[in-house]
Amino acid sequence: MAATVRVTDLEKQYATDEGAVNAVRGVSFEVEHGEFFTLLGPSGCGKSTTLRCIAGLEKANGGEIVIDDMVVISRSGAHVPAHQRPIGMVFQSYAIWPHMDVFDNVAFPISQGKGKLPKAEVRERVLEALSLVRLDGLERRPAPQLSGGQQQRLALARALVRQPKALLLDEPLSNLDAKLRDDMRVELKTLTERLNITTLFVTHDQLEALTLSDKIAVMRDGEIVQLGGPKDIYDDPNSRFTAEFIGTTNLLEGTVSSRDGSMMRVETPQGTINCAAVELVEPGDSAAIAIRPANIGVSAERREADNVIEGEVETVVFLGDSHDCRVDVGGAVIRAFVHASQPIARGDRVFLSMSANDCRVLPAEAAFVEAEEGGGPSVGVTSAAPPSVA
Amino acid sequence: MATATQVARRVLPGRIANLEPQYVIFVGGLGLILALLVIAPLAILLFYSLWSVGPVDDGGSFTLENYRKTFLSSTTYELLFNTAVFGIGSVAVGLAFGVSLAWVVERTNAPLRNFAFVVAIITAGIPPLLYAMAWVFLLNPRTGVFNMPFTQEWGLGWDKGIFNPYTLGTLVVVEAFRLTPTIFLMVVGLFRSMDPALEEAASTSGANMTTTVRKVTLPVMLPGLLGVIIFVGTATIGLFELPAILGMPGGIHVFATRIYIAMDTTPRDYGLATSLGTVAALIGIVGIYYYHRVTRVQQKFATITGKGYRPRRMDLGKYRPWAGAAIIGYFLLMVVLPSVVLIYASTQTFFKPPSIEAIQGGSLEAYREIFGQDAFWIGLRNSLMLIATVPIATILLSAVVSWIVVRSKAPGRGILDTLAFVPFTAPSIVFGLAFLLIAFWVDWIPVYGTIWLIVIVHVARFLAYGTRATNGAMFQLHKELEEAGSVSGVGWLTVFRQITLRLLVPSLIAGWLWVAIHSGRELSMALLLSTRDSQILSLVAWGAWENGRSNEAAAVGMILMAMMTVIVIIARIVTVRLTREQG
Repeated sequence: MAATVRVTDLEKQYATDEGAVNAVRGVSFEVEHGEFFTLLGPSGCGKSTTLRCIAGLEKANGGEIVIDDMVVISRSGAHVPAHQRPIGMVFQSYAIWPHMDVFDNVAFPISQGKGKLPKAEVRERVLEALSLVRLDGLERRPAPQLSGGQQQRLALARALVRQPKALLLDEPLSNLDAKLRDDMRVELKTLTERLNITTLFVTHDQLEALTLSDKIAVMRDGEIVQLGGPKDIYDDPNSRFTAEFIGTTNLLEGTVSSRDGSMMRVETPQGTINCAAVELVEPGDSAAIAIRPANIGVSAERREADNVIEGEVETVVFLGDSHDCRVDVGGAVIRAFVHASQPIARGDRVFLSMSANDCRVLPAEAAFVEAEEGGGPSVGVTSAAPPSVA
Repeated sequence: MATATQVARRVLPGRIANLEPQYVIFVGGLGLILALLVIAPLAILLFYSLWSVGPVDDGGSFTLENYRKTFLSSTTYELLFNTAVFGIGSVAVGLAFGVSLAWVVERTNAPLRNFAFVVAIITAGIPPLLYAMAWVFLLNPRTGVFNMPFTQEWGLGWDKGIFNPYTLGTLVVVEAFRLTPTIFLMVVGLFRSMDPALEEAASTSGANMTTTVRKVTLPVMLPGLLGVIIFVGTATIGLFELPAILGMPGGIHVFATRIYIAMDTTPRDYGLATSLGTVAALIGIVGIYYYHRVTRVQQKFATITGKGYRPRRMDLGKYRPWAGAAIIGYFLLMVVLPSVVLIYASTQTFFKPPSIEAIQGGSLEAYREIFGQDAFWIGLRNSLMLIATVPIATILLSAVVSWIVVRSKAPGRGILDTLAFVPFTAPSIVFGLAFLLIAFWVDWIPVYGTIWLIVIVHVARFLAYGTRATNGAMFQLHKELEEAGSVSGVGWLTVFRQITLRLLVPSLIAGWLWVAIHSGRELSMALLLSTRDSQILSLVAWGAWENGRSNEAAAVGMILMAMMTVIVIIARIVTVRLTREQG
């Protein structure tokens, strides 16, 4: 089946006082019918701008966007206005119109303008959309009297009532409190799966992206740096940026010394690390090794493994189901998650064992510093590498 | 960054090419209307100030003679001096009253705080013409109410009262009284837009009350205060009514009255009027330039305070009753006395100081008299016409202009914004003069001598206020509310009508009310434009006053006030009902 949304070489510049800024630089991707596609990245990476170009709220400066066989932005500069595109959208602020009640908010897309439907059908469709998001019985409630979660669901109903070809979600969960956000995430997943609707989702929250998506595009500085399924992106990051942005990661910096078939050796201040060979780097290159804390074994005695390094436990934080241990290895700190039943205490001498397959070799690049809200995604232990190597 | 210019070059043509044609026509057409309303009059004013003959004569040539004559005359320097004293003096005194009142009401536990608010809103609505007349009744050397104790009890002689309304000093004080409620309301707004946490942070850092006020409150408010000063100062410098009634009898002239005299003599002195008008407009442009700069800085400081606004109030302790007394004193002096004396004056065939006999001898003769005059009925009809057309036209035009300025990315939207604000720079009478010149020029458009000319002038003038109000309201409206309409499959015109306008209704009504009150009471723009058929009520009152029929002037004034009160009440009811509907 052909892609429902196809974006090719999208370009968007903003004129600012300091000159033009390239917000989106040559972004291309395809979203299959019924797929849940996420644009993930830190603030300012161009993810929202990309979505707004698809919605028609921003005018692209170049490239092509096709939604359901309709060329909405063509290379020749033609631009279909937002209201003529077959889309529905949920905004970060929900944008519930305060001068209308629940029913009128949802009815608006199908009772105004060209897409106007007969009254009876409007009523039927609105009630259907409201029951879809479990807001039945609240039709005549003034919109400002809804709770945050209800407004969120109302915004979703309004976006769905027109039966759009693509549902666009611009950080819809970020204004909800933590518990509600968990519930809404599940609800959103269930709903989009049930309707089998093509969904484009924008978020800076890696957990949302990993749990909801069929496919994730990780964006940085206006470009897609990696595109793949959640598992691929989590297990197989192709850059230090992706590794650090998604999930918690230890990074050890060093130099590739040799390559032997499927194995690669990297010299680090913590010793020689055996890794699965990759094409991204060659012997002689400086590189970073990414290891997820969950993939590191911690034991009091030396075990047989591809890599074993010795260190001293610096801190242990109890997380309920596990311990988050920080182990000092030759001046660097490596994080490892240990099952809660395993006795471990500060000051213990321990051995860290890692399989070569879990040690991802990545090209060296500058460390990523999250400039956004303090709470952002967990960035891992970037301080693991001693400054001398960087 | 060599790529920056390349990128810019690539962006621009694409942006224009992408615009929908109806959009270009719409914005372009709007720009043209604004230019005609705003730029054309000022350009023609400038032209005639540099032209050797007036608009009624043929021929003429370029000349600097008008300016030479104007600036060689000593009366011009007198006038500049008077205008400066009038502007600076009344703003300084008004600021002292207004800021202290605002501080007492917003930041202390003084009694009657809400009452002070109501009083301020009422006073700000009194037409300046009536206010000036009231103070003549109060201060007149022969019959002035304030002079009564001196003339009657002290036996100083019937015309030897110690108060005299016809001096520069009185002019300054009365204008300061008149400005006080406006300044009060603006400064209260400044207090409220300041995040209380700023002051609380100073307190928790160990600063006491005075240090907090000195180091935090005042510096944060300073740009806002400067904005208020320039705003009321520019308005005062262009004011006609007070100088006309309190200044002219004593030979004290300011810009507005001098231009009026130049146009009231036969033959009219167009050279003097246009050159003075151009100078006044230039002063206004400088003032507005600084107002713009200052308020831009202010926006950086501004914080929107939501429901969490709880100002810290100082406990006045034993001074609390005194603060209450001050509020009552303000109410008596600035509202009650002027209003009561006007009502009283409208019942007296010849004004006498109030006494039991005088009140018993009062009659409704003046009202009977004006009801018998055609001019009154024409004026009433035309004033109602102004109120029916000017506010709605101004506010709708303002809303459209603001929408383009604030929301769209249309090229040239900044020009629209500036155009809409230009009318504020010239004094009202200069604006009237400029439109008179236009009416002579384009005499094939039959508006001269009809109320429609005055309607057009008012819309052009009040656009400056209207767009400030709608710009502010539009900024506060979250952009996504409209975008949600666009992605619902609805065109921009429907989105504008169904969402933008509807959400702006409370702000639009407030703006409508402001324009309605100012248009209904406005005198100086119509002064040079009105003929017998395009009389308005304020002109009828002015005419009666000039001809010495002060009781009739007061009577017309009372009717004008009654009209304004009805409008305020209707607007209030509509707003309350609408906000209740929206929950």
